[in-house]
Amino acid sequence: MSLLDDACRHHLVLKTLASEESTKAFADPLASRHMELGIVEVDDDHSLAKCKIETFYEELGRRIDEIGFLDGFVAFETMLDDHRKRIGRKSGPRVPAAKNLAQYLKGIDRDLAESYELLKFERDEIAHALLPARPLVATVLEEKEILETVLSALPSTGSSRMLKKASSQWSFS
Amino acid sequence: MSLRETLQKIEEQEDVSRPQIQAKLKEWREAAIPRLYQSVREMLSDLITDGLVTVNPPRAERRTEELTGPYEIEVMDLAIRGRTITLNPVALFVIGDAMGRVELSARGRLDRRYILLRHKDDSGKDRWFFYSEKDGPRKLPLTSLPELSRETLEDMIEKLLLP
Repeated sequence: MSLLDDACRHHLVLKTLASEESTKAFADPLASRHMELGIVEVDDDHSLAKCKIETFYEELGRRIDEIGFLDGFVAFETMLDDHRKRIGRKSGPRVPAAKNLAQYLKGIDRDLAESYELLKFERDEIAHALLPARPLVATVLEEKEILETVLSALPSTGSSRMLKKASSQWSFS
Repeated sequence: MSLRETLQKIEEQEDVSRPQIQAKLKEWREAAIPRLYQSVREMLSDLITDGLVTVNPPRAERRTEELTGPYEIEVMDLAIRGRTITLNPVALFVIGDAMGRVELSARGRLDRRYILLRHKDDSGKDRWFFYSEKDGPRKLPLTSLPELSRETLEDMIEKLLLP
Protein backbone atom coordinates (compact mmCIF):
# COMPACT_ATOMS: atom_id res chain seq x y z
CA MET A 1 0.00 0.00 0.00
CA SER A 2 1.39 3.42 -0.94
CA LEU A 3 1.68 6.48 1.25
CA LEU A 4 -1.12 8.04 -0.81
CA ASP A 5 -3.36 5.06 -0.07
CA ASP A 6 -2.53 5.41 3.62
CA ALA A 7 -3.28 9.14 3.67
CA CYS A 8 -6.56 8.58 1.90
CA ARG A 9 -7.52 5.72 4.21
CA HIS A 10 -6.79 7.83 7.30
CA HIS A 11 -8.91 10.60 5.87
CA LEU A 12 -11.83 8.28 5.19
CA VAL A 13 -11.65 6.79 8.70
CA LEU A 14 -11.67 10.25 10.26
CA LYS A 15 -14.51 11.39 8.03
CA THR A 16 -16.59 8.31 8.82
CA LEU A 17 -16.14 8.88 12.57
CA ALA A 18 -17.09 12.54 12.31
CA SER A 19 -20.00 11.63 10.08
CA GLU A 20 -21.32 9.13 12.63
CA GLU A 21 -20.99 11.76 15.35
CA SER A 22 -22.90 14.32 13.29
CA THR A 23 -25.70 11.81 12.63
CA LYS A 24 -25.99 11.19 16.36
CA ALA A 25 -25.91 14.91 17.07
CA PHE A 26 -28.77 15.67 14.66
CA ALA A 27 -30.86 12.89 16.18
CA ASP A 28 -30.88 14.73 19.51
CA PRO A 29 -29.75 18.35 19.16
CA LEU A 30 -30.44 19.17 22.82
CA ALA A 31 -28.46 16.24 24.26
CA SER A 32 -26.33 17.26 27.24
CA ARG A 33 -23.25 16.00 25.39
CA HIS A 34 -23.43 18.95 22.94
CA MET A 35 -23.65 21.33 25.88
CA GLU A 36 -20.65 19.71 27.53
CA LEU A 37 -18.73 20.12 24.28
CA GLY A 38 -19.79 23.77 24.09
CA ILE A 39 -21.58 23.36 20.76
CA VAL A 40 -25.01 24.15 22.20
CA GLU A 41 -25.99 26.38 25.13
CA VAL A 42 -28.34 25.26 27.91
CA ASP A 43 -31.06 27.78 27.00
CA ASP A 44 -30.95 27.18 23.22
CA ASP A 45 -34.21 26.00 21.69
CA HIS A 46 -34.40 22.99 19.35
CA SER A 47 -34.03 24.91 16.08
CA LEU A 48 -31.14 27.07 17.32
CA ALA A 49 -29.39 23.96 18.66
CA LYS A 50 -29.84 22.27 15.28
CA CYS A 51 -28.45 25.33 13.53
CA LYS A 52 -25.38 25.38 15.81
CA ILE A 53 -24.80 21.67 15.25
CA GLU A 54 -25.05 22.24 11.47
CA THR A 55 -22.44 24.99 11.66
CA PHE A 56 -20.14 23.01 13.92
CA TYR A 57 -20.12 19.85 11.80
CA GLU A 58 -19.95 21.80 8.55
CA GLU A 59 -16.76 23.43 9.81
CA LEU A 60 -15.42 20.15 11.18
CA GLY A 61 -16.08 18.41 7.86
CA ARG A 62 -14.28 21.16 5.98
CA ARG A 63 -11.26 20.96 8.28
CA ILE A 64 -11.13 17.17 7.89
CA ASP A 65 -11.22 17.60 4.10
CA GLU A 66 -8.50 20.23 4.24
CA ILE A 67 -6.23 18.11 6.43
CA GLY A 68 -6.85 15.06 4.22
CA PHE A 69 -6.02 17.15 1.16
CA LEU A 70 -2.76 18.41 2.70
CA ASP A 71 -1.81 14.92 3.91
CA GLY A 72 -2.36 13.62 0.40
CA PHE A 73 0.09 16.19 -0.92
CA VAL A 74 2.69 15.43 1.73
CA ALA A 75 2.44 11.72 0.85
CA PHE A 76 2.73 12.54 -2.85
CA GLU A 77 5.82 14.71 -2.40
CA THR A 78 7.47 12.07 -0.23
CA MET A 79 6.79 9.48 -2.92
CA LEU A 80 8.15 11.82 -5.58
CA ASP A 81 11.27 12.37 -3.53
CA ASP A 82 11.75 8.63 -3.00
CA HIS A 83 11.29 8.06 -6.70
CA ARG A 84 13.94 10.71 -7.48
CA LYS A 85 16.38 9.11 -5.06
CA ARG A 86 15.74 5.62 -6.40
CA ILE A 87 16.47 6.66 -9.95
CA GLY A 88 19.87 8.22 -9.59
CA ARG A 89 21.46 10.42 -12.19
CA LYS A 90 23.19 7.51 -13.89
CA SER A 91 20.52 4.86 -13.77
CA GLY A 92 17.84 6.44 -15.93
CA PRO A 93 16.05 9.60 -17.09
CA ARG A 94 15.80 12.30 -14.41
CA VAL A 95 12.62 12.58 -12.43
CA PRO A 96 11.66 16.27 -12.10
CA ALA A 97 11.69 17.96 -8.70
CA ALA A 98 8.34 19.08 -7.26
CA LYS A 99 8.89 22.71 -8.30
CA ASN A 100 9.50 21.71 -11.96
CA LEU A 101 6.83 19.06 -12.10
CA ALA A 102 4.05 21.14 -13.66
CA GLN A 103 6.36 22.25 -16.45
CA TYR A 104 7.46 18.66 -17.02
CA LEU A 105 3.86 17.42 -17.16
CA LYS A 106 2.92 20.08 -19.71
CA GLY A 107 5.18 18.32 -22.20
CA ILE A 108 3.42 15.00 -21.64
CA ASP A 109 -0.22 15.74 -20.96
CA ARG A 110 -1.55 19.29 -20.82
CA ASP A 111 -4.79 18.32 -19.04
CA LEU A 112 -2.91 16.42 -16.38
CA ALA A 113 -0.56 19.38 -15.91
CA GLU A 114 -3.53 21.72 -15.50
CA SER A 115 -5.21 19.39 -13.00
CA TYR A 116 -1.99 19.13 -11.04
CA GLU A 117 -1.57 22.91 -11.00
CA LEU A 118 -5.14 23.34 -9.80
CA LEU A 119 -4.50 20.94 -6.93
CA LYS A 120 -1.22 22.63 -6.10
CA PHE A 121 -2.90 26.03 -5.99
CA GLU A 122 -5.57 24.63 -3.70
CA ARG A 123 -2.90 23.09 -1.48
CA ASP A 124 -1.08 26.45 -1.21
CA GLU A 125 -4.30 28.26 -0.37
CA ILE A 126 -5.12 25.82 2.41
CA ALA A 127 -1.56 25.58 3.71
CA HIS A 128 -1.35 29.35 4.03
CA ALA A 129 -4.86 29.56 5.44
CA LEU A 130 -5.57 32.38 3.01
CA LEU A 131 -9.25 31.61 2.92
CA PRO A 132 -10.04 29.18 5.71
CA ALA A 133 -13.72 29.07 4.83
CA ARG A 134 -13.29 28.00 1.22
CA PRO A 135 -14.56 24.65 0.01
CA LEU A 136 -12.26 22.26 -1.84
CA VAL A 137 -12.21 22.15 -5.60
CA ALA A 138 -11.56 18.40 -5.56
CA THR A 139 -12.42 15.72 -3.06
CA VAL A 140 -9.57 13.84 -1.38
CA LEU A 141 -10.38 10.77 -3.49
CA GLU A 142 -10.18 12.83 -6.68
CA GLU A 143 -6.93 14.37 -5.49
CA LYS A 144 -5.49 10.91 -4.86
CA GLU A 145 -6.43 9.71 -8.33
CA ILE A 146 -4.84 12.71 -10.03
CA LEU A 147 -1.66 12.54 -7.98
CA GLU A 148 -1.37 8.81 -8.72
CA THR A 149 -1.71 9.58 -12.42
CA VAL A 150 1.01 12.22 -12.08
CA LEU A 151 3.31 9.69 -10.43
CA SER A 152 2.63 7.14 -13.14
CA ALA A 153 3.61 9.72 -15.77
CA LEU A 154 7.12 10.06 -14.34
CA PRO A 155 10.10 8.42 -15.95
CA SER A 156 10.88 5.06 -14.50
CA THR A 157 13.54 2.47 -15.10
CA GLY A 158 13.26 -1.27 -15.45
CA SER A 159 14.58 -1.68 -11.92
CA SER A 160 11.89 0.56 -10.39
CA ARG A 161 9.20 -1.24 -12.36
CA MET A 162 10.51 -4.52 -11.04
CA LEU A 163 10.57 -3.08 -7.55
CA LYS A 164 6.99 -1.93 -7.92
CA LYS A 165 5.93 -5.34 -9.20
CA ALA A 166 7.73 -7.03 -6.36
CA SER A 167 6.32 -4.74 -3.69
CA SER A 168 2.79 -5.35 -4.94
CA GLN A 169 3.38 -9.08 -4.54
CA TRP A 170 4.57 -8.54 -0.98
CA SER A 171 1.68 -6.34 -0.04
CA PHE A 172 -1.19 -8.17 1.64
CA SER A 173 -3.17 -5.13 2.79
CA MET B 1 12.30 36.70 -33.45
CA SER B 2 14.04 39.16 -31.10
CA LEU B 3 13.52 39.08 -27.35
CA ARG B 4 11.54 42.33 -27.60
CA GLU B 5 9.17 40.81 -30.15
CA THR B 6 8.80 37.62 -28.10
CA LEU B 7 7.97 39.58 -24.95
CA GLN B 8 5.51 41.79 -26.84
CA LYS B 9 3.82 38.69 -28.27
CA ILE B 10 3.53 37.08 -24.82
CA GLU B 11 2.08 40.32 -23.43
CA GLU B 12 -0.46 40.48 -26.26
CA GLN B 13 -1.49 36.87 -25.62
CA GLU B 14 -1.87 37.55 -21.91
CA ASP B 15 -3.95 40.64 -22.64
CA VAL B 16 -6.25 38.55 -24.81
CA SER B 17 -6.68 35.80 -22.26
CA ARG B 18 -7.20 38.02 -19.22
CA PRO B 19 -10.38 39.69 -20.55
CA GLN B 20 -11.57 36.26 -21.68
CA ILE B 21 -11.15 34.90 -18.17
CA GLN B 22 -12.93 37.92 -16.71
CA ALA B 23 -15.75 37.48 -19.24
CA LYS B 24 -16.09 33.83 -18.27
CA LEU B 25 -16.15 34.75 -14.60
CA LYS B 26 -18.79 37.41 -15.21
CA GLU B 27 -20.90 34.92 -17.13
CA TRP B 28 -20.47 32.34 -14.32
CA ARG B 29 -21.43 34.75 -11.52
CA GLU B 30 -24.09 36.76 -13.29
CA ALA B 31 -25.70 34.29 -15.66
CA ALA B 32 -24.87 30.61 -15.11
CA ILE B 33 -25.31 30.52 -11.33
CA PRO B 34 -28.43 32.73 -11.18
CA ARG B 35 -29.91 30.58 -13.99
CA LEU B 36 -29.15 27.41 -12.01
CA TYR B 37 -30.80 28.88 -8.89
CA GLN B 38 -33.81 29.90 -10.96
CA SER B 39 -34.08 26.37 -12.37
CA VAL B 40 -33.92 24.93 -8.86
CA ARG B 41 -36.67 27.33 -7.72
CA GLU B 42 -38.80 26.24 -10.68
CA MET B 43 -38.15 22.54 -10.05
CA LEU B 44 -39.20 22.94 -6.42
CA SER B 45 -41.94 25.50 -7.06
CA ASP B 46 -44.78 23.25 -5.78
CA LEU B 47 -42.92 22.55 -2.55
CA ILE B 48 -42.02 26.23 -2.14
CA THR B 49 -45.64 27.29 -2.70
CA ASP B 50 -46.82 24.75 -0.13
CA GLY B 51 -44.29 26.05 2.40
CA LEU B 52 -42.40 22.77 2.58
CA VAL B 53 -39.27 24.37 1.17
CA THR B 54 -38.11 27.90 1.95
CA VAL B 55 -35.47 29.72 -0.06
CA ASN B 56 -33.31 31.60 2.45
CA PRO B 57 -32.15 35.16 1.71
CA PRO B 58 -29.15 35.07 -0.63
CA ARG B 59 -25.68 35.25 0.86
CA ALA B 60 -22.31 35.63 -0.78
CA GLU B 61 -19.10 33.71 -0.21
CA ARG B 62 -15.58 34.56 -1.24
CA ARG B 63 -13.65 32.38 -3.65
CA THR B 64 -10.15 32.53 -5.03
CA GLU B 65 -9.16 30.70 -8.17
CA GLU B 66 -5.74 30.62 -9.71
CA LEU B 67 -6.90 32.17 -12.97
CA THR B 68 -9.48 34.63 -11.69
CA GLY B 69 -8.11 35.81 -8.35
CA PRO B 70 -10.59 36.53 -5.54
CA TYR B 71 -14.27 37.11 -6.19
CA GLU B 72 -17.60 36.88 -4.41
CA ILE B 73 -20.38 34.53 -5.45
CA GLU B 74 -23.91 33.89 -4.30
CA VAL B 75 -24.68 30.71 -2.38
CA MET B 76 -28.21 29.32 -2.28
CA ASP B 77 -29.61 27.95 0.97
CA LEU B 78 -32.89 26.08 1.19
CA ALA B 79 -34.54 25.50 4.56
CA ILE B 80 -36.24 22.10 4.57
CA ARG B 81 -37.60 20.42 7.69
CA GLY B 82 -35.14 22.11 10.01
CA ARG B 83 -32.13 21.38 7.81
CA THR B 84 -30.24 23.65 5.45
CA ILE B 85 -29.61 22.34 1.97
CA THR B 86 -26.91 24.36 0.25
CA LEU B 87 -26.02 24.85 -3.38
CA ASN B 88 -22.45 26.05 -3.29
CA PRO B 89 -20.61 27.18 -6.43
CA VAL B 90 -17.13 25.93 -5.65
CA ALA B 91 -15.20 26.89 -8.75
CA LEU B 92 -15.49 27.96 -12.36
CA PHE B 93 -12.20 26.46 -13.55
CA VAL B 94 -12.22 22.83 -12.53
CA ILE B 95 -10.44 19.57 -13.14
CA GLY B 96 -11.60 17.81 -16.28
CA ASP B 97 -14.02 18.87 -18.98
CA ALA B 98 -16.67 20.68 -16.91
CA MET B 99 -17.23 24.44 -17.04
CA GLY B 100 -17.89 24.94 -13.36
CA ARG B 101 -18.58 22.92 -10.24
CA VAL B 102 -21.35 23.37 -7.69
CA GLU B 103 -21.83 21.23 -4.60
CA LEU B 104 -25.18 20.22 -3.18
CA SER B 105 -25.09 19.24 0.47
CA ALA B 106 -26.94 19.36 3.75
CA ARG B 107 -25.03 21.63 6.11
CA GLY B 108 -23.23 19.59 8.74
CA ARG B 109 -23.85 16.28 7.01
CA LEU B 110 -20.48 14.75 6.23
CA ASP B 111 -21.37 11.42 4.65
CA ARG B 112 -23.25 12.67 1.61
CA ARG B 113 -22.56 15.38 -0.92
CA TYR B 114 -23.38 15.75 -4.60
CA ILE B 115 -21.14 17.37 -7.14
CA LEU B 116 -22.86 19.18 -9.99
CA LEU B 117 -20.83 19.82 -13.11
CA ARG B 118 -21.75 22.28 -15.81
CA HIS B 119 -21.72 21.43 -19.47
CA LYS B 120 -22.54 23.79 -22.31
CA ASP B 121 -24.28 22.07 -25.19
CA ASP B 122 -23.85 22.98 -28.86
CA SER B 123 -26.52 25.67 -28.61
CA GLY B 124 -24.69 27.26 -25.67
CA LYS B 125 -27.31 26.12 -23.19
CA ASP B 126 -26.18 25.03 -19.74
CA ARG B 127 -26.78 21.44 -18.68
CA TRP B 128 -25.87 20.18 -15.23
CA PHE B 129 -24.70 16.64 -14.58
CA PHE B 130 -23.94 15.21 -11.18
CA TYR B 131 -22.40 12.39 -9.19
CA SER B 132 -22.23 11.55 -5.53
CA GLU B 133 -18.99 12.15 -3.65
CA LYS B 134 -19.61 8.80 -1.96
CA ASP B 135 -19.17 7.00 -5.29
CA GLY B 136 -15.59 8.22 -5.49
CA PRO B 137 -13.96 10.00 -8.42
CA ARG B 138 -16.19 9.94 -11.46
CA LYS B 139 -15.36 7.35 -14.07
CA LEU B 140 -17.79 8.43 -16.75
CA PRO B 141 -17.62 11.25 -19.29
CA LEU B 142 -19.53 14.32 -18.17
CA THR B 143 -22.59 13.84 -20.36
CA SER B 144 -22.91 10.17 -19.38
CA LEU B 145 -23.58 11.15 -15.76
CA PRO B 146 -27.16 11.60 -14.54
CA GLU B 147 -28.55 15.01 -15.41
CA LEU B 148 -30.11 17.51 -13.06
CA SER B 149 -33.88 17.50 -13.40
CA ARG B 150 -36.83 17.91 -11.10
CA GLU B 151 -36.86 14.17 -10.33
CA THR B 152 -33.12 13.86 -9.74
CA LEU B 153 -33.02 17.05 -7.64
CA GLU B 154 -35.88 15.83 -5.44
CA ASP B 155 -34.17 12.47 -5.11
CA MET B 156 -30.86 14.07 -4.07
CA ILE B 157 -32.56 16.33 -1.50
CA GLU B 158 -34.50 13.38 -0.13
CA LYS B 159 -31.27 11.42 0.35
CA LEU B 160 -29.60 14.41 2.01
CA LEU B 161 -32.49 14.66 4.47
CA LEU B 162 -32.63 10.97 5.33
CA PRO B 163 -31.13 10.06 8.70
